[in-house]
Amino acid sequence: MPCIKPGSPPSPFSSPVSSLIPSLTPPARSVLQSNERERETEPSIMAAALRPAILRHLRIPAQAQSLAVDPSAPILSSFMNRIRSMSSHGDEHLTHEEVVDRVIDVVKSYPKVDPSKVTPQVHFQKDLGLDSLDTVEIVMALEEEFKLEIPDKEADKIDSCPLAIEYISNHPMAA
Amino acid sequence: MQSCSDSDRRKEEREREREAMSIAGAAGYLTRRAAQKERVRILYRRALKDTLNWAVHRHLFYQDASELREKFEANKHVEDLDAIDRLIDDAEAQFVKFQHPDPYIVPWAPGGSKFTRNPPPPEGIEIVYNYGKEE
Repeated sequence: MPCIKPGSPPSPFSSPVSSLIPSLTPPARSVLQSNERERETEPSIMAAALRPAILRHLRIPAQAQSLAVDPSAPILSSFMNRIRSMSSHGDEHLTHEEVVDRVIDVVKSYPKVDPSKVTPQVHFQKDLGLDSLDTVEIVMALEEEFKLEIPDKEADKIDSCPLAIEYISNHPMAA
Repeated sequence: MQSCSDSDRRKEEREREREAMSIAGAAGYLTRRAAQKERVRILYRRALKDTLNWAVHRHLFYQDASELREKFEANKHVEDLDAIDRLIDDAEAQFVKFQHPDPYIVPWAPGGSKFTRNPPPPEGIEIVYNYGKEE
């Protein structure tokens, strides 16, 4: 099974920008410190001059659009987005619609199932005519789809689409 | 005459006893079967996960999974409760020997690599982010 590694450090970026970012939130900070030390002799005078102007903007979380207000830093805003694009911090939770769509896709792609009969209300054994072992296989496929780990007792109880959708929507770690 | 009615009454009693026994027996039988079915389902689930642990490449996994499924299906029609129990025990013993030493566990689950990696800080502690602004 592939394991998901945290994002690798970004490619080297332009030097004056690197020394301007001491106030970033902690996850990105360690990435920068190694680059900062290499660039200590770079023009820091310009950095010191621009620093208060830029720090005012950097207190806002990276996804905020107000960074674009600062005209002297188009590089800065793209750099900020690039740094945060690899962080998996604060992933948005799934919307209910997305959960429903993905669950139905998984059930439809099961070979023993007739795709036209699948609705969000379907019961695996009664409506789709599946076996209890087939239900187990579908639950495993759902676990793989949403990267969940469902305990055995709970997985035994998932018998139908609405139950599966409800369980996944209420799971805090569903991806 | 008397003996006829006696024997009739005895037959009725025996029938009633048998009915009572069969109802209780049926309920017991059903609970046993339900428990066995649950054991089978959980065993199938764990065996399938282990098969996935051993056979990482998907085409190999599909072959092994269909073989596992056929093994389960071969014993599908066994009716005797004791035989079923014996089969389940044998299968569980086989499964214990077959487990993968380094199974894939979802990172945030117990046993995974990310489990309790960043526990939330205790209540009432607030982290002040003032890097670079201390002076």
